[in-house]
Amino acid sequence: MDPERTEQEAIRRWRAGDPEGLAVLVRLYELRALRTAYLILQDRMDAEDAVQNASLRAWIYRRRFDPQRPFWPWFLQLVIREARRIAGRHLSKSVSDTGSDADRVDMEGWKDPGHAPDLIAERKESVRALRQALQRLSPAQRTAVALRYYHSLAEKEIAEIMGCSVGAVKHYLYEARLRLRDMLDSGETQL
Amino acid sequence: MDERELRHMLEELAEEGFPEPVGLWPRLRARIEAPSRATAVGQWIRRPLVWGLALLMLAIGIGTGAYAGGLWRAFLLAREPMGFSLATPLGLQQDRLRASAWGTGLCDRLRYVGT
Repeated sequence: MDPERTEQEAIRRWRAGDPEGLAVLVRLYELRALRTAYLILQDRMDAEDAVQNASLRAWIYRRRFDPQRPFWPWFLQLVIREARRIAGRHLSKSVSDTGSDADRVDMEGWKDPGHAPDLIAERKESVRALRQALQRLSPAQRTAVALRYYHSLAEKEIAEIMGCSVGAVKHYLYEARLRLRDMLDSGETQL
Repeated sequence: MDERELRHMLEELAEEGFPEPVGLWPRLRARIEAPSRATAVGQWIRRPLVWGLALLMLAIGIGTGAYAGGLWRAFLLAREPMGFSLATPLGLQQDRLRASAWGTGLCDRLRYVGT
């Protein structure tokens, strides 16, 4: 069956109050939502909580969804709100405390035989550095970075999702780039 | 590191966090169904409570209205000068004045006849 029709049918059923409709939508967008939340929260459990809460909100507020518009941006907005809410709760935690996931290095992605070991190690180090640098950004800055560079969204779209002005998004991105540049390398960054 | 490099690294970081879906739906389904049962029970508890509150509010409203009406009437009576009410129409007041003057004149005449 055509994926677009599947989604339309799922949206129709979900809005009519059928949980199976939401099940299809959650399965469709779960991974993308989890990865987005993970970039903001840097913690698997928190990311799962954020997506689960967002899905629950999607169920509760299903009547507010405009069926003429695509589902993913609306759902992404819910995920971002939940992720920022959870991030706000953890603001008092020190950066070192959040290291349970941050210090974990998953070697699965590095088993490609095409990569030389030194290149793999260098890449691994870069990703670890990026993760640590992201942790030092504010939740709003991390959100803006994730939406701009992971989802390739325009500043206007980011502003709509974050519920702030385009000027605020520009400011978040400017500050984030500045801080990432300072933390990641010694001046060759072109961000 | 340029923008493209940052994109790739963010993708790698995100994939590292969640290499594959975790299957949120079963837990989510339990959460969706739990409140609906609670809501059904809660509705039976809340419904009489809401009606009771609405009736109480209505009774208080009626009581307050009646009390305020009584107060207003008392206020008007207290302000009424020599038996004339502020609420008395002007024509009626003039009639009463005329009747009062006519009465006074009749009394004078009767007194004169009597003497």
